[in-house]
Amino acid sequence: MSKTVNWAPLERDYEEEKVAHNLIRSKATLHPLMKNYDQIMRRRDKEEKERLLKLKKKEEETNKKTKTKTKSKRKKKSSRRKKKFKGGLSFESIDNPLSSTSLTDVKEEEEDDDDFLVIEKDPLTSGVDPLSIQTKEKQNSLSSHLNEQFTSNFISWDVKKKSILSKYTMSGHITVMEGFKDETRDSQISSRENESMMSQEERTKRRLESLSMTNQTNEIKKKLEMSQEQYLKRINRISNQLKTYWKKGKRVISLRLIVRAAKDLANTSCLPFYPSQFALVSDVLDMFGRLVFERIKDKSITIDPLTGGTTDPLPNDFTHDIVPEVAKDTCYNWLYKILCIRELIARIYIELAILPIYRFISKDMHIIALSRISRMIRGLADPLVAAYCRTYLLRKALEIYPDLKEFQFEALNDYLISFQQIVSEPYLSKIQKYQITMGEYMNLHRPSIEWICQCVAHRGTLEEFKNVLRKYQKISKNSLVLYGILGSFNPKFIVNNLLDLLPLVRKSDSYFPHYLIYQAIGNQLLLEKPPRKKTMRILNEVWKVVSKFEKIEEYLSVARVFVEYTVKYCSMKETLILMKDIQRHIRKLSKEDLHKVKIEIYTIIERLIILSSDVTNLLLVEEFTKLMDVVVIEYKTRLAKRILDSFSRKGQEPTGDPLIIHLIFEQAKILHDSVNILSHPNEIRNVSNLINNYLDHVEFGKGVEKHLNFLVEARDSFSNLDLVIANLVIRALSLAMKTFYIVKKKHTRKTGAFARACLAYCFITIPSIEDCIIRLKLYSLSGQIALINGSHAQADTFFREAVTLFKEIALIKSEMEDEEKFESKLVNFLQSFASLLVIVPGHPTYGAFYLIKGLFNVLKDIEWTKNSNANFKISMAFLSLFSVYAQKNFPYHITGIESNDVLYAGYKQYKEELQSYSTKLLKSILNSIYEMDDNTERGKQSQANSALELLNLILISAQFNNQMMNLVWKLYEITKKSKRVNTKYFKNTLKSLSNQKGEKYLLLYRKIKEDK
Amino acid sequence: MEHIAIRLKRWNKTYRLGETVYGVCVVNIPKPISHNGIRLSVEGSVALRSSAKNVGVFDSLYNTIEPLKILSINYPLLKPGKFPQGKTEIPFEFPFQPLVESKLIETYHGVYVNIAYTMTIVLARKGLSKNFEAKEEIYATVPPKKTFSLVAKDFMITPDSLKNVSKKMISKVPNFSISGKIDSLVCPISEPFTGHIKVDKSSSLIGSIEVQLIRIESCGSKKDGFVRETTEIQNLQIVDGNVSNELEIPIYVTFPKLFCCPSLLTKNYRIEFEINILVLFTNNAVVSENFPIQVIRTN
Repeated sequence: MSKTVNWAPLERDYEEEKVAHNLIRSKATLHPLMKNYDQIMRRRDKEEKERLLKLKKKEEETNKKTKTKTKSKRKKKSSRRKKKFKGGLSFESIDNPLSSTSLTDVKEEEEDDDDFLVIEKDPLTSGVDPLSIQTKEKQNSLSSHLNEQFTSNFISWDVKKKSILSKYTMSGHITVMEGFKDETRDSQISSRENESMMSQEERTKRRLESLSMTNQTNEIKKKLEMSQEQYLKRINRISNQLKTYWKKGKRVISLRLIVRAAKDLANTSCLPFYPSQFALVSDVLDMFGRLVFERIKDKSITIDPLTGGTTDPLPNDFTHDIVPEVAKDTCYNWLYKILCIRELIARIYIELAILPIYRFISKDMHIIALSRISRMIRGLADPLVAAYCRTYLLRKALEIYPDLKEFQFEALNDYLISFQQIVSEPYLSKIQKYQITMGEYMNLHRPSIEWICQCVAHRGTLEEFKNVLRKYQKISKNSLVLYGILGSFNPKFIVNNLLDLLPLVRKSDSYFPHYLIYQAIGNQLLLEKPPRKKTMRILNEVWKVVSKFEKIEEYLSVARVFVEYTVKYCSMKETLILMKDIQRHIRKLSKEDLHKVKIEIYTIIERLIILSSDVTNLLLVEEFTKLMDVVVIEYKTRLAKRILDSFSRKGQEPTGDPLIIHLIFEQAKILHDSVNILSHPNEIRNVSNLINNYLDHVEFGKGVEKHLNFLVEARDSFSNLDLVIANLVIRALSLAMKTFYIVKKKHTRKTGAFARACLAYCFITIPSIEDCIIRLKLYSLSGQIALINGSHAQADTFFREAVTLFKEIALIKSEMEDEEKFESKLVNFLQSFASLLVIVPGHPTYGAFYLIKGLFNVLKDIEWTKNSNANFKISMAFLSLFSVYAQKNFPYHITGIESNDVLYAGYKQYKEELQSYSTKLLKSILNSIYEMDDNTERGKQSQANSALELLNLILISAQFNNQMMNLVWKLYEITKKSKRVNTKYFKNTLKSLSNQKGEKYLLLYRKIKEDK
Repeated sequence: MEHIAIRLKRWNKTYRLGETVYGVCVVNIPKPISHNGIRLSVEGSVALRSSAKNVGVFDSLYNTIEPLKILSINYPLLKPGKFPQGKTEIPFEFPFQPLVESKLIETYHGVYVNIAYTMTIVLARKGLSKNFEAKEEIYATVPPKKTFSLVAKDFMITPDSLKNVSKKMISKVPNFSISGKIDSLVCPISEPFTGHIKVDKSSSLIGSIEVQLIRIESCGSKKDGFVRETTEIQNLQIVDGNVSNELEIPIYVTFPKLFCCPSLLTKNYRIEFEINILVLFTNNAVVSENFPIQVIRTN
C-alpha cells in the first residue's frame, strides 16, 4: 500500500469539454422561486382536475358502452392517470401553506389587528392585549355560531372582563358582611339532619327557626375589612366551595353560597373596585349556571321506575318537548327556590345565571323571564349596581337571543332614567364620601355602558340609531351614554350625521370627560370616510373645542386620532397645521408634564410614520422634526426603529438626498447606540438588519467619492455591529466595482486610485469585525475585487492576510463552541479559496506556490477533530487545483490578469514542483482513505464515498497509466465494501467511464462490468 | 340498605280524585326469608293543632285534636310465603278515593294544619324479627269546581290612606305617594302573583320595598272560638334603595310549594292568605298596605 503512486496530470481542453458536457438548454417554465409560481401551480391543478373530470366522464360513458374486455385495459390507463393526478394533489398539499390564499389570510388578520388598534383608541393604555383580541377572534371563528352572530369589531365579554380586571383595582378596603364559615357549618349540620327522617312538624319548626335566625344574624354579622387580594381569595374560595359542595350533592349549601356571592354585588363599599367585583362575581354566577344546566341535562337521562333502564342523554340541540317530566320538574324546583330569595339583587342575578334552563321547559319562556327581569332591575336604585346588573342581563340575552333588541333598548332607556338619581341623595354623598370626582365615578360606569351600547348598536339599523338618539335627547344629557352611542353604532350613521351630533356633545353634561367622546368620534371617522364637502367643517368644529382643552393628556389623545384623520382625508396642509397646533400645546409644558405625556407624543409620531407613504417627506417637514425632538430618550430608539423600518420598506427607492440621508443617519446612530454587549442577540441582529437596509438604500449615483465618504462616516458611527461593518465592506467593494463598470472596465488613473481607495477602506475595516469567518471570507472577496481592478499588490496583501488569519483561527478553533461546525466552515473556505487560487498569479520573488506553501505550513500543524475528513477534503481540493495548474490553458481568467498558465508556461521547475506536490497530495489522500475507520457501517460508507470521489478525480484529471489503473481498481474495491455508497454517483461514474476514449478506460469498464 | 321500598310510577307522586295509583314494591334482601305477608295501607288525614302560644304549653300537649280521617285504604298485597335472595318487585295499584262522606282535600303542610296522605307497606316477618316497613307520601290536588274570574285592583298609598297611625306619629310620617296595580286578587296557585308599583314622590329616602305573603291558619269551632295563626311564608324585596320615581317596578311573587294551598274555609279550620306591601324608609319608618287574596287551584 505504501508504494507511492505518481500523479501525472491529464491534459485537458476545457473549451472542448465545455462543448462536450453541454447540457441541452431549456427555458425554465416552473420553479418554486418564480414570482407567479402559485398561480401557475393552481392553474395547472385546476386544468388537471378538469381534464380528469372530463376523462372520468368519458370513461363512464364509454364504460357503459363497451364490454368488459376493453374495460380492464381502460382501467389500467385510468389508474395510471390517477397516479399522475395524485402526484399533483400531494404537490398541492405541500405548496398550500405557502400559497397566496394563506398569505391573504394572514393579511386579513393583520388588517383586523389594525382595525382593532383603531377601535381601541390607545393600545398602550387601554390594557387590552391585542393578542387576546386575536385569540378571541380565533375562538369566535371556532364556534361558527358566534362567528355568524358578531361582526369582528364586537368586543367579547372575555376581552372586556380582562380589561375591567386590569383597570379597576383598589387600594382601600372593602367591607364585607362575614359570618360565612359559621353559616356553612350550620347548614352542613342541618342538611345532615335533613337526610335523616324528620317529621313534618320538626321540619317546619326548623325552617321557622332558621327564618328568625337569619333575621337576627343579619344584624349580628361582623363587618370585615378586606383588601383587594383578600377579596379575590374570598371569591375564589366561594367558587371552590361551590364546586366541592356541588360535587357532594349539597345543593342547598351551594345555593346559599351563590346567594351570598350575588348579594356581594349590592355592596358598593369600595366604589373604585366595583367593576372588577362584578367581573369576578359574574364568573362565579356563570359557573353556577352551567352546573345547574348540566345537572338538569343529566336528570333528563331518566331511569324508568318499573324497568330500571336508562334513556339516552339529550342531544345538544334538544328542544323542550323531548325533555322528560322529571327534568322539567327539577327545573321548576330550581326556579321556585330562586324566586323565593328575599334579596332583590340576588334573585335577579341568580335567575339570570340559570336562565338557560328555561330551555328545558319551553321554547320562549326565556323572553318572558328576560323582560320581567329587565323590569325588575328597575328596583335597584343605585345606578351603578343597576347598570352592571343590566350588563349581565344583556350578556345572557345575547347568549340566548342574539337578535332580540328589546331588552337592549329598555336597558339603555332605564339607565338614562335611573341615572337622574345620581344627582340626588344618598348617592351624591356616597360619591363625596369616597372622595372621587364625578368623572372618576362615571368611569366606573364606563365598561357597563360600553357593553350596553355595544349590544344596542350591534348590527343596528339607521332607524334604530335615530330612535335611540331621539330618546336620548328627550331624557337626558348624559355624556357617558352619548359616548357609548357614538362609539358603538355603525360609523356610517355617526359620520353622516356628525354635524348634528357635535352640538349634542357640546351640550351634554360634563360628568364624563369629553375628550373621550371626541376620541371615539375620531375613531369612527377613521373607519368611515366623511363626505368630502364636510371634512373640513368637521375638523374645524371639533378642533374649536379640542384646542381649548386644558389638560394636555386629553388634548393629545384626541390629537392622535385627528392627525390620522388629516392624513387620511385632508391635504398635507391640514396635517401641518395640526402638527403646529400640537407643537404649540407642547411648548407650554414643563419638563415634568412633558414626561407625563411621553407616550402620547410618541404614538402620534408613530402613527404619522406608519401612515405616511414616504417617511422622507415627513422628515423634511420642520414641524415633524420639532415634534421628534420632544420625544423622551426612552422612546427615541423605538422611534428610530420605526423610521428606519419605514425608510427601507420594500419598494422604496434608494435616495441620494444628503439631507434625508443625514436625518436618517442620526436615527440609525441612535439605534446603534441603543445596543450593547448585553443586548439580546436577536435584538442586535434586528438592529443590524435595520441599519443595513438603510445603508442599502443610500445611493449617490455617480458621486462615488461622496459615497465612500459616507461609508467612512458610517464606519465611525456603527462600529459595534459586526453585520453592519461587514455590510460596509461589501458596499465599498461594490463601489469599486461600480466605478470599474462606469469606466467600462478600463480604469483611468483617477478611477484606479479610487478603486484602490475603496479597497484600502476594506483593508482597514475588515479587522474590526469580530466574526473571524466573515473576516476570512471578506479578505478573499476583497482580494478578488482587487485583482479585477488590477491592483496586484492589494490583492496579494488581502490573500496573505487571509492565510495569516486562517492560521490564527485554525489554531484557536478548539476554543470554539461547536468545533465540528466551525471546522466545516473552515474547510468550505479552503475549498473555495483553492478554486480562487487558480487565477491568482504567483509571486515574482517567492515563486508560483508561495500562498499554497504558506497554507500547507499552517495545515501541517492543525489537528482536526476525530472522524472529520477535513484532511481528505482539503487535499482533494488542492489536488484538483494542481491538476488545473498543469494545464496549458486555465479554465477561467480575469481579463487583464496573467495567471500562472501564462506566467510559467513551459517552465520546467514549475512542472516538477507541481508533480511533487501532486504526488504528495495523492499519497496523503490515499492515506486518509485507508486510515478511515471501517469497522462501523457509517465509517465504511464515508470511506466508500471518499474513494469514489478520488476515483472520479483520477478519471477526469490524471493520465490513465497502469499504475493508475491498479489504484482505481483498488478504490473500486473499497467502494464495493459499503452497501450504502452513493449509488447514483457510482452509476454516473461508470457511465462517464464508458464514454471515455482510450483502451485502458474500456478495459477497466469491462472489468468492473464483469465483476458486477 | 333498605330492604323494602316503594316506587311510584308517576314521577311527581301527585294524584287527583279517582285516579289510580300505580307502582311497585321492591323487596331487596341479602338472603332468602319467609314472611307472613305484605300489607299496603294508605292514610289520609287532617291534623289540627292549637298553638302553644294561645293555649299554653301543657294544654297544647293534650289538646291536640284527634286527626280527621279522610282516606283509608288497607289491603294485603301478598300472602305469606318466601322471598328468594335479591330483588323482587311486586306491582300494586289502587284507586285514589276518599272515605265515604269525606271530601278529598289538597295536601298541605302548615304549622297548625296538616293535610297529608301517607302510603305504608309493611312486610310482616316471622317470629321476633322486626317487620320491614316503607313509607311514601302521596300528594293530592283537587281541581276547582267553579271557574274563577280574576279581580284586578289599583291602589294608592299616601299618608292619608294610612290607618292605625297615632296622632303623635302622624307628623313623623314622610310625605309620599306610591301607586300601583295588583293584577288579580284571585290568584291561581300555579301562577305568580303579579302587579307593579311606582313611587310617585317621597320626601324621605326609601330604603326598601318588600312584598310579604302571609298565611293565616285558624282552627277551632264556633263554640270555643277560633285560634288564629299568621305566618310569613314569603318575603321578597322588590326595591332596593331610593328608586327613581318614573319607572314602574314589577311585583312578582310565586306561591311556594307545600307552604301554600288553595284558600280553605271549613267549619273547623281555615287557611287564608294575604299580601302585604311594606315600604321601609331609611329613617326606620315602615308603611304597610294589606291585601287579602284568594288562592285557587286551576286546571
